[in-house]
Amino acid sequence: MIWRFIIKRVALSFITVLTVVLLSFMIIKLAPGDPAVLLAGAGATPEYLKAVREAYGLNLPITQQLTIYLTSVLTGNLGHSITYSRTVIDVILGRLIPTVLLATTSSIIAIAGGIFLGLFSAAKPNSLRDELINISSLVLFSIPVFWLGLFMILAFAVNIPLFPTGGMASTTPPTGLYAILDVVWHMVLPVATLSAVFFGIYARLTRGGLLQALSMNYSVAARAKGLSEREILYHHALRNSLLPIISLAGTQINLIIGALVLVENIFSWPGLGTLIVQGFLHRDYPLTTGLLIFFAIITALMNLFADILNAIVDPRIRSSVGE
Amino acid sequence: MKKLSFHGFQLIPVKGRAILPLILLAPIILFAVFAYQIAPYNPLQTGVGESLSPPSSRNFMGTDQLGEDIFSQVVHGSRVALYVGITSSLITVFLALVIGTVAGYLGGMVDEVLMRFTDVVLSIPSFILIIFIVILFGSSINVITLVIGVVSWPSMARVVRARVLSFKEQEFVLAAKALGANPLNVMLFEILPNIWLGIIPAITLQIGNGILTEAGLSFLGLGDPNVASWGRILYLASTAIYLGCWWGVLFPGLAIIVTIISFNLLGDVLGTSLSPK
Repeated sequence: MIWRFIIKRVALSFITVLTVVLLSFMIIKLAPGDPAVLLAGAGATPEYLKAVREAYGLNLPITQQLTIYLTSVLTGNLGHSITYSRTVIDVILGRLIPTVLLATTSSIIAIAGGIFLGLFSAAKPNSLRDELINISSLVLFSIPVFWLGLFMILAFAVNIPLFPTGGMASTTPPTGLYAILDVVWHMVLPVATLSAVFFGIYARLTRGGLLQALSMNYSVAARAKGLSEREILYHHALRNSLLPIISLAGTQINLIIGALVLVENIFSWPGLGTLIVQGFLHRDYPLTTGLLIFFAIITALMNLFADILNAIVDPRIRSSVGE
Repeated sequence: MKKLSFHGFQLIPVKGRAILPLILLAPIILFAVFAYQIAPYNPLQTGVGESLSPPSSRNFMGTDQLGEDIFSQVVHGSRVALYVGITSSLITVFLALVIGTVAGYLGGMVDEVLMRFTDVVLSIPSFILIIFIVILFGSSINVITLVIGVVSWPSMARVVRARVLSFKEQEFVLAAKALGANPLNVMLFEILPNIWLGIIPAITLQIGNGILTEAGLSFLGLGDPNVASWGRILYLASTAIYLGCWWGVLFPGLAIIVTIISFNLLGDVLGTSLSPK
């Protein structure tokens, strides 16, 4: 049963990635200008242009071009970056670790903080503290992440120079253990910015999940047994709603990627988010196409993971999908 | 689409709830309509003040490093924001109505295919896709608006489909069918007038999303360079932030935050007052 669900879900993820690849092909075809020039860069020599035309089969009929494009993408060949003169995959993998570091640290802090706030909120629904948490969630949620980042720099790097304004390490990085501390020091502001935006979302998700769990039969039964509300909240409601909350967090990946691109650029973080803007500024089309496909794969994987986790926790989902 | 109910907001009585976002939005709308009368300078005219001068009687929100007047940019920026927000969500609404209504009304195989397609589009990293399209098609404000509108339909299409499903078995629809109305007429004249109200909250949220996306693009320097967008002011301020240019961060930021909170609250109010319970 669960395997059937997983197979269907994996197929859907594959179709999603395939759609993005087809979409990117279509968009490049529809875009104004010669695709060979786009792929080779504006300063390419006629010989190189000819080579690119042949490599991508740009003289062939469109269906054959599509086949060539699809097979090269599916075999992991995303082409050559114009600005870095390396393969796109190489460039992307070289920038991957800083992004993963920033994204996971912020997510963990935001999820932990959000669950804590949500718990605090749900323990006394409609009380003053519940309302305060709700209102601050709304405000945090409505503040654009790039504005919050600028504010952080202005407050804690320029006016009170506690933290660096950007980058991932000092220009002359210290060695040993201090090198790690140096990176941590550089991470404080970007992580604070990124997690602040998602605090509100996770707090609301947790509050909703907990209040729902508190109205379920098992909570009523626990109450009938004479357990205290506190015990029911922590031992029954929280335990049952924790995994759904975490898997819901996985579905926020689309929002997270958008915020990540902005935060990386504010703090000059050397990751994929700054890479895509550099790709834009240098008109590096193979690189940006590669990044689009790469991010699509990451999003598909995260959604897949979240759905499978949810299906393991809640058997009703398994049977309802794909009928 | 963001789907949060703003619980604390329910403390304010219904009448006040509807008025608050409108009061907050009033100056923005006023700025947008009378931009040319209110703004003292051409927003993109360089050298109307000294470079990076703090707020003064001459430039009372200060100037950026090109010597452009920030107050004039904030005023004209509301025009850009409302244009992008409203136009892009009209595009979104159109696509969502067509796809959601067809899927919900026809059902069966059509529904299955359209909804799977919706799932797929929903899981595409939209901000990256928008950047990708803007790179290839050029960053004019119209391209940006169109792209934001086109990539945002899936979550609204789901709302539309759900509303259509709740109406399609009702007597008046069955009666129209029994009288021999063709499916297109039923969708246009029986179902559409009834689902309008239900999707208005989703539309206001989408306006906020559109404004935020455009501001984000302009902030990255990927926006239309010939348009005085709020994101562009922040982009210029971000390059001068080490010189302590707080005025370039504070004023456009306030404009964006007030606008986004207002549209989010408006969506919330309309959601509770329009829901047919």
